[in-house]
Amino acid sequence: MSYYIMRVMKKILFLVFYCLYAQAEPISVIPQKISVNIKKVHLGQELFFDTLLSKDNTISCASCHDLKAGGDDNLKFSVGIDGKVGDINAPTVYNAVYNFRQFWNGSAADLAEQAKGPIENPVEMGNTFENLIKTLDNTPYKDKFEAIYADGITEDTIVDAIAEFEKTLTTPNAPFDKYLSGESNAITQKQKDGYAIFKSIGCIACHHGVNIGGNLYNKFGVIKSTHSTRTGRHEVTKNEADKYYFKVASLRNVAQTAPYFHDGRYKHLEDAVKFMADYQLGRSISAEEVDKIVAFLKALTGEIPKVALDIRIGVVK
Amino acid sequence: MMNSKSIDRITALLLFFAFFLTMLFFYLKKVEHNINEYMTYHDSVVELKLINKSFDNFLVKQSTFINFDEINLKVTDFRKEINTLDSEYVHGIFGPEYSVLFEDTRRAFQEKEIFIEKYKSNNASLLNSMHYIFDLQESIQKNEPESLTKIVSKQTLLLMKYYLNNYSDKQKIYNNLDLLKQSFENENTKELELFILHIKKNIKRIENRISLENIVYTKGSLNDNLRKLHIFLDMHHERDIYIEKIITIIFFSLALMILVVLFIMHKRSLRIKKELLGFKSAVENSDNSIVITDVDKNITYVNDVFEKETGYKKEEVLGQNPRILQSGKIPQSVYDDLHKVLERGEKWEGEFINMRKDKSLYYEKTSITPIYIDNELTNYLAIKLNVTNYIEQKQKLEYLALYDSLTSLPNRANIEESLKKMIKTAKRNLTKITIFFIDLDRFKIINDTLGHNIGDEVLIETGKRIENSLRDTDKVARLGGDEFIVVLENSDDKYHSSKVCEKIIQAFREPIQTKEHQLNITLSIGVSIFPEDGLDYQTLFKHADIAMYQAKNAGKNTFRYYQKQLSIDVEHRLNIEQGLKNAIENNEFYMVYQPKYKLSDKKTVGLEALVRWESNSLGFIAPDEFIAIAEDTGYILSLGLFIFKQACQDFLIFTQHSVDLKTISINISAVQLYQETFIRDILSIIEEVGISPKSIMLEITETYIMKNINHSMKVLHELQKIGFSISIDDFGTGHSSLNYLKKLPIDELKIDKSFIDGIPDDKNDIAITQAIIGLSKNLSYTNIAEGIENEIQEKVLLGYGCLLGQGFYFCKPKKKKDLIQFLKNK
Repeated sequence: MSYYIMRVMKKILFLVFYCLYAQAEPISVIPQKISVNIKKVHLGQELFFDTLLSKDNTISCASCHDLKAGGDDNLKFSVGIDGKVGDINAPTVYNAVYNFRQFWNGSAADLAEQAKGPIENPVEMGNTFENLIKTLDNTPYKDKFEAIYADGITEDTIVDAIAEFEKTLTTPNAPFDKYLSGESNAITQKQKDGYAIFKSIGCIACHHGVNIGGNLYNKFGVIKSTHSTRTGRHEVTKNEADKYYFKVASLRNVAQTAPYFHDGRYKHLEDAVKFMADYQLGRSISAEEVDKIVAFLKALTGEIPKVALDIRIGVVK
Repeated sequence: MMNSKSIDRITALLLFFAFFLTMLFFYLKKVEHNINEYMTYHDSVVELKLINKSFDNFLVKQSTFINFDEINLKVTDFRKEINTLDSEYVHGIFGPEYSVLFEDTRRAFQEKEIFIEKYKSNNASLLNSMHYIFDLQESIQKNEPESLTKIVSKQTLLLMKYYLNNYSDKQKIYNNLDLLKQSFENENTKELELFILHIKKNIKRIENRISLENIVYTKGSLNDNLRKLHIFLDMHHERDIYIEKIITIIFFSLALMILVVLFIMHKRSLRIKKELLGFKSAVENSDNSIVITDVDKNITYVNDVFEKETGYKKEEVLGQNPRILQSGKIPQSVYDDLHKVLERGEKWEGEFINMRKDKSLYYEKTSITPIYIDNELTNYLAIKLNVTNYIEQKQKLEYLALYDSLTSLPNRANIEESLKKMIKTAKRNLTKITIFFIDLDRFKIINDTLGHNIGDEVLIETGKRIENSLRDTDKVARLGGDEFIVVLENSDDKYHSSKVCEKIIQAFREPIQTKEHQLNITLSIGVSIFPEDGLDYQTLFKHADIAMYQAKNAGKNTFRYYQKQLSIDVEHRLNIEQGLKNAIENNEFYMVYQPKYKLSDKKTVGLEALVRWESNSLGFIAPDEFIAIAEDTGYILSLGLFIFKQACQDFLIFTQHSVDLKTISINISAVQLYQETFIRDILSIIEEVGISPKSIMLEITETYIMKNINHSMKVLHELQKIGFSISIDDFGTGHSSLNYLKKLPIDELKIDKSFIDGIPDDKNDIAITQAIIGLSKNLSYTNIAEGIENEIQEKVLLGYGCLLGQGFYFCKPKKKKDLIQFLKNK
C-alpha cells in the first residue's frame, strides 16, 4: 500500500511540476528596446523633473522617484508638499511599464493613469489639473505641447507625455538576465542555488514573468494576518473578499528599493524574505536558504538607463 | 437671348443628374466605408472572442504553473480591443441597442477580469501550498511513526486527486482530515500543524477555483455577450446591406428615369432645333426686317434684311436701342402709345418713318410683340416691312388722281373739286367766277400725223404758256386731250377776262419749237361766267365748251362768250360728230359721181367721186357740214380711204360702159396728206382693186397746198412718181405763188365754182377765169371749170379755151346705177 501510494504520489508530483520544469524559465529577460515617441519622451522627461507640477512648485515626480536611487525615495512613506507624509511606500518607477497595473492596489490600469494620481493627491503634489494646465499655459510648455498634441495642454496629454518618458525607464542587463540569456557565469553559484530555492519553495508562483512579480494580486498574509492598515484591492472594489489583496511587487532592483512592502515595514531583504516565507508561503525556511535567496535577489539589479543618467547630469548643472 | 435668371429645364436636369451621380458616388463611398467599418468591428469582436477563448483556456489550467505575463497581455489586448468598440462614433453607428449590448459585454469583461485576478491569486497560492504539502509529507514520513504517515500520505493523495479532478469525493478528504486532527492531538508537531493548515486552505482554494470556473460558464458571461454582440453586428450589417441594396436600386432606377427624361428632352430639343433652324432661315430670308431686343429694349438680333434696309451693320446696332432709327417725323405720342401697349403685354402695330444710316428716310410697317417664356418677359420681337415703295406709289396715285401726269397741271377731278368749293364761296360772297374752256385748234392732226410724242410736247408747252399768262390766283387744269380749263376767281369784269383770253392767244404767236418741228399752234377759247351761265360746274363747263365751239366756228384762234343760241349750233355739230362715229360700219355713206366732159365734143372723159351721207339718226347731211367736222376729228382719214376704195371699184365698172372714160378724180383732204401711212394705204387699195394709178386723179385744194408748200411739194412729187395725176381744186381762191406753181407736179387746175358763177356777168370773175385758163396753158396743165350750170357758161368757157367742164348743166352727180345709165345713153 505504502509503496503503491508512493508510486502514485511520485507520478502526481511529476505531473504537478512537469510544467514548472519542462517549460522555459518562468522569468523573462527584460527587452533591450521599447518603442516610444521620442518627442513625447523628451517632453515627458522635462515634466518628470519639473516641480511646476506640484501646487507650490516644490515637488516633481523625481522627488519621490529618484532615478539614481533605484527609482524610489528609499523612505518608508514619501513626503509631499508642505512636508506632508503619505501612508504608503513609493514603489520604483523603473520597469513600472511591465507591471500589469499601477499602484499597490492596482487602481491605475497603466502609467498614464498612474501619473494622474500623485499630481492631484493632496499629500503628494496637491495640485489640480485645472490649475496645472493654467500654470503650464504661461510657460514654453505651451508651444512644446502644441507641437506634438493637437489638443495642446490637457490632463491626458500631460500624463501621456510623462508615461511615454516612463516607458524608457527600464533596467535591462541585470546579471540574472545575462544568465538567462546564456552567460552561465553571470551569477555566482550561491545565486544559482538561491534561484533554485526561489523556485522550489514557491516564490516563483507569484514572482515570475518579465518583472519577476507585478503581474497579479495576492493576499498580503496568506497564512496569517499581517496587521496591515491599508486594505489593498478592497480599497478599490469595496469587496470584502479583496481585503489585503495587493499587487505583487516586482523584484527587479529589489536590493535598491528598501524599505519593503507597501508599508515599508522592513529595511532589509533578509527580513523581507523571511516574512514572505512565513506569512505568504506558510513554511519554515533556513537561514542558509534566506541567505542564498537574498544573494539571488541581488542578481536582479539592472543597468540604470542612460537617459536617467543624462537627466541627472542636466539637473546638476 | 437667354434670360440668365431662369435656368432651362435641361440644364436643371443635367445639374440634378450631376448632383445625383455625386450623391450616388458618395453613397457608394459610404457603403464601402460601412463595409470596411463592419469588417473592422467584426474583426474586433472575433478577436475579442479569441482572447476570451484564451481566458477560458487559462481558467481551466488547474494544476500547472502559469506565467501570468501572458494572461496579463491578453487582458490588456482585450481592454484595448474592447475600447476600440467604445467610441462615440461606433455607438453612433450602431445605436442604443449596441450600447446596451456593449455595456453588458464590458461588464462581463470586468467580471471576468476579476475572476481572472482571483484565479491568478488563488492558483499561485494553491500551487505553492500543494508544493509545500509534498515537502511536509516527505518530512513527516521521515520523522513520524508509520500510522501517522499513512494518514498524511492518504491525505496528500486525496487532496491531490481533488486538486486534479474537481469531481473527487470531498467527504473522504474531510474524514481523513478528522483522523489527522485526532493524530495531531497526540503528536503535536510544527510540521503536522502546518500540514493541516495547508490542507484546509487548499481545500478552500480548490472549492474557490471550482466556483470560479462554474461562474465563468454561466449565462450572461462574457462568452454569451460577445456572441450576442457578434450576432448583432452581423444582423446590423445584413440590414445595412439590404437597405443599401434597396437604395442602390432606387438610385439606379432614378438615374435611369433621368436618363430617359434626358433622352426624351434631347429628342425634343433636336426636333425643336430643326424647327428653329427652319424658323431661323425663314427669319433670315424673310422680306421683313426682324429685330429682337432684350427686356431693356436693347437689340440682340437683327437679320440681313435689316442691314440692307437700314444701312447699319449688325455689329453697329447690337446692344443699341432701336430709337437710333428714329427720324423725328413720328410724333412722340405714337411711341408713348407703343410703350403703353407693350407694357400691357400686347402686340403693337403701326407705321414709322425711320432714318437710315445715310440719313435717308423710309417708311416701314412695324409690329412689335413682347415675347414671354414661362410667363416671364424675355424679349421683344419687331417685324418690319419696308413700305416706302408702296407709300410712294400711293402718293403718286393720289397725285395722279388730282394732277395730270403729262403737264403736272390739276386734272379734271381736281378742278371740279376746286370749282365746287369756289362756287360755294362765290354764292356766299355774291362774287363771280369766269371759266375758260380752251381747245387747241386742229391738235388732232398734229397728234395723228406727227405722232404722240410731238403732241405731248405741244401739250406741255401749251400748259406752260397758259399758266404763264395768268395771275397766281387763277387756276389752270387739263381736262384731257387738248382741252384746258382756266378759272378766274373774283373776275367781275368781262373786259378783264377778255384781256386774259387775248393774252393767252397772244402767247401762241410764237411757234412751238419741238425737236424736229416748228409748229404754229392756235387755240380757241370759250368763256362762261358764274352765276349767269350756270350755277354748277357741269353747266358752266358745258357752256364754256359750247362757247369754245363758237370760237372755232368763227375761224379758230379766237375766243367767244357763251350765248344761249350758240348752244344749239354746237349741239348740231356734236350730233354730227356722234353720228359720224359709226357711219361707215352702218353703210350710211354712198358715192355719187359727176362726169367731167370735154367742152368741145361733150364726151365724158372723167368722173369726180363725191361722198354723200344719209345719216340714220340725222338724215341727209351736206358734205360741206360733215367733211370739215370729219377733218377736225380726224375721221376724214378712215372716210378718205373708204371713198378712195369705193371710187376705184366703181370706176372699173364704169369703164366697161364708156370708151371715152379715162380718169376718176378723188378728193384728198389735207389731213390725209399729212398722214405718214397715206401713200402706203392707197397703194394697197390700188393693188387690191386692180386699178392703174394712171386712171386716178387726186384733187387737192389750193389753200392747203400753198399753206404747207414744202410738205405739199414732197408728197405731190411722190404721188406723181407713182403715176397719179394731181388736180388743184378750187384754184383761184388761195394765194398761189406763181413761182411754186411752176415747180409743182400738177396735171390739172380746177377753176373754182365761184368764178364760174360770175360768168357771164361779172367782169372780175371772167378775167380771173381767163387768166387761169391762160396760166394752165402756159404751164401746160389741163384746166377744168366746175359748176357750169347753163349753156351760156359752157359756150363762154369753150370760147376762152377751157378744155373740160363739170356741172349741173351737163350732168348732176349721179349714183352708180344712174351714172351707168347716163354713160349708156351717151
